[in-house]
Amino acid sequence: MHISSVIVGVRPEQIEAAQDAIRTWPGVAVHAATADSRLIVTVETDDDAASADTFARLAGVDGVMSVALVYHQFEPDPDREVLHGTDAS
Amino acid sequence: MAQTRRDFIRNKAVAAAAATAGITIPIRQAAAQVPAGADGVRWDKGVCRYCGTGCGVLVGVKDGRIVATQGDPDAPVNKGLNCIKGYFLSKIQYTADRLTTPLLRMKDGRYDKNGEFQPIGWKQAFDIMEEKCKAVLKAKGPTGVGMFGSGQWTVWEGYAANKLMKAGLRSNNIDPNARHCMASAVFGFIRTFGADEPMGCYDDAEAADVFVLWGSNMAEMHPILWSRITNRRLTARHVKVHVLSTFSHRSCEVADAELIFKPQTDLAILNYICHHIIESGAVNEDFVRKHVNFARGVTDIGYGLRPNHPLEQAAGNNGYPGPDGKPKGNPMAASAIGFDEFKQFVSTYTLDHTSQLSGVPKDKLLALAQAYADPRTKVTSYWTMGFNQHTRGTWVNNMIYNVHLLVGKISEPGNSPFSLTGQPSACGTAREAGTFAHRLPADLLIANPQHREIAEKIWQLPPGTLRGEVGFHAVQQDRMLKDGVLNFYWTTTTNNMQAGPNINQERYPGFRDPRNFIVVSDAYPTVTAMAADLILPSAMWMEKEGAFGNAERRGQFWRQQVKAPGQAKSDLWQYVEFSKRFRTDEVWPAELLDRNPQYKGKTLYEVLFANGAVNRFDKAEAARVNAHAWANYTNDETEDFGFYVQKGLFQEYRQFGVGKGKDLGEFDQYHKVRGLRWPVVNGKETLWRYREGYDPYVKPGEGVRFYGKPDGKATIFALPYQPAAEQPDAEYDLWLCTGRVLEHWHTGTMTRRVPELYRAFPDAVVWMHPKDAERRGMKHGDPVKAITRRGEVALRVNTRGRNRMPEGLVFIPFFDEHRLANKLTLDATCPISKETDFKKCAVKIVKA
Repeated sequence: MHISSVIVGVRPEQIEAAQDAIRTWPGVAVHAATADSRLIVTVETDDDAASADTFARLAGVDGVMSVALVYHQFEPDPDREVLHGTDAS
Repeated sequence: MAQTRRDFIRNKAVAAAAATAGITIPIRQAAAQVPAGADGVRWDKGVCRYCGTGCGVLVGVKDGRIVATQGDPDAPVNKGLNCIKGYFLSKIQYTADRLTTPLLRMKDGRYDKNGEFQPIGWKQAFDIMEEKCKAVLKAKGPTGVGMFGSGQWTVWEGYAANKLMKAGLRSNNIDPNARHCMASAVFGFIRTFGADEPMGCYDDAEAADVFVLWGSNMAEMHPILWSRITNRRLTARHVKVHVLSTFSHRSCEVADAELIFKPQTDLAILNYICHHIIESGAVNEDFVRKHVNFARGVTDIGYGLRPNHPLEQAAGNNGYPGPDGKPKGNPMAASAIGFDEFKQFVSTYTLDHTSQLSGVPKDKLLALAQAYADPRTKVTSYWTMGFNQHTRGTWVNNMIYNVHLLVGKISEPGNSPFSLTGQPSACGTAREAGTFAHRLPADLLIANPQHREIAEKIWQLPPGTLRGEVGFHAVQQDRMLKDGVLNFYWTTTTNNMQAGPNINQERYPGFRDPRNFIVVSDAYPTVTAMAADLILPSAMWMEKEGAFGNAERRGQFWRQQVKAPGQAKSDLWQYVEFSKRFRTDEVWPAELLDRNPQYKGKTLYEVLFANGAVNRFDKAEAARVNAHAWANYTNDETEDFGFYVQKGLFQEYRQFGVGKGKDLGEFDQYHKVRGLRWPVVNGKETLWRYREGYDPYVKPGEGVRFYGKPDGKATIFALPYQPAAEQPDAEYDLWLCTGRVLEHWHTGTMTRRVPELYRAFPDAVVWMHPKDAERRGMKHGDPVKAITRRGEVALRVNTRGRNRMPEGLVFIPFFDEHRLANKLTLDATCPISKETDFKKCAVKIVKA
């Protein structure tokens, strides 16, 4: 499994429509929109070709000016539990 | 709170992106907090393997494999962002067809040019290389052997290769693939400024008021730099972007002005802009008087074709041997003139004439010229292959500097003529370490006896070891292979069978000629490897300790993170190990050894690498230098040779540039920081060169000094528009432009490699204007053939998508082994830089 996060720069007047479009794609989630018109998006796929296709699709969405990758990890065992948990401390 | 690894990783991904974007998403942030290393991933700093932008990348390693990458938030170049190519950084090392053993063409257990590739060991590989190389040296001398290297070599790999070839085997026939991309830029710099590489840096992107792209599709080819420009444009509303191209591409979408011009007319447009500047009284007279000389260049310089071509026979200044055997003039020659003569020269490039010639509407040309002319507007110009891969590439580089120099818009934040680099280390390795057929490190020249003396001293060689004849450049290497002059050839980290021009007529026959023995070092079975006789499996990227130098003069280092697969070895190991096979008595002239008997009987390894400098640092030094990263660091070459070879090579190498305006920092420092921009003086980097206050080499009171030139002045060159080498005619009626396209990069180039050179091309595409297609009875998606005088390729027509062609011009991408666009291209070069013009020749498109 491949998990990536990307920052998508969108023209301000089209950012709502872009979010709506992107949200519907399988494996893709929009986590936030910044004040300077950028979206925080994650892409989860089973293979790298599918991820690459998704990045290309993101670039093709109306109003999108840039797509930048931030984080990418491949994980062979995605459903295993993490042993070190997290808590407020 | 339990979570799955999926959730955990997703939260880490979101937190990283949020931090990079400068926001917080509290729940996600908390969920991603885990003690460093608790998930078993070790993170370390690295540099992207791809373009000349040089983004910083954090690499995550677990159980000896790279499992994650992240845009490095501490990297000034990209501040946490990567482009989508970064996605493939770690994946690329683990594809199924990585080469893991040497492969030799054999029949009946012996080498045979027509045999099948069989796996062999390194000893046997070096045995046959030694045999073939020594046989050629004996029969022909050093001019019979050659090497084709790369702007993707690490700094010490290129430096070591240069030593092996020029000092060891005494052959100057070493040239990098950067000849195909940056040579025109290099000669442009040297001719105008006397010193290579940009004077500005990426910080110009945050300071400019106007950006002009010339022959550069930054949106696809330098995406992170592009994102800095689009951010600037979004945050500063007055900022404008002008894009000049021969066809409309993705960068045009953000442009305020798109100027589509006829091929080659960039020359005319640049002269028009100078004319406008002069006529509108915008010349910065103070600047010009203090810092600029004028010269007029010779013009009948030919097109870099073979000497028997009619265009070369007619050229009086192409430097080729004339009927008396002496060189016909010199394409770089120029005579000093004054400002008035320059003014007169550009006065014929009026707005009307230039608009007519170029096809660009007058209002767009005028707006562009006004932006350059307005003294209050800071202008940053970016260019890459449209300017460099050009039969007048050196001229056009000189001419963009003409514009910036006339108005004094140079060497200060936002005012920047900036030559963008394609490859990750064309600057740091090919150019700075001097791996060209005419160069030595730090801008020194092979043909200059004083420069050779400097190199011989640093390299501890007897005087006279280095030969002064310029070696074969890239295109010349192909011709010499074909003609049977060059018989032992070693290429690495480059796929030149596919990437070089005119495959059918020159390079392919050269490779397959039985007189020639071809060695290819690579990580994959590329078409070049498949056309070779011996393939050597090479380590990649994080499988070796490395250093790159990016387009803004930033040297950046990384540690070895993982091991190479199977028997793959780094290029550095290959050169150092192979040097053990030669003794000075076998490859140096007897007279040289008689004069310097202490060198007799030594292996090239002893002379070049175990010379007290390169082997100065012991194995433990590697651990000491990198202790801040993790304990007991070492790397494979240090283990193999018994000393910290990378540090030894670098510290020897930096002697060339120290005190010369090309100072590199100390080795140890680079392993700690996110790179340093040279000149690095007293540990401090230089952002803008040639200007007082920014550049330590410019003394107080000097203001600006272009210290690459003896008198401190840059040169403006009067140079004309001239047509391309081959233009469309009645039969081949369209312009053919080639280049790269992001869309097709991920449909096969890296992940599907084809063993055979010739194969059907079912998925090829040629971009055409819909009217051009219609006139030929074609429509979008139809199978067609693109045919030039040199070959043909079967493809499908594309009239849509992000590349929109003007009528009369088609575009075929070349980074796909299913569509060898270079079967079509012409091996015409800039006669000064010898860089191939991949952007202009004549093609016809017919139904398949």
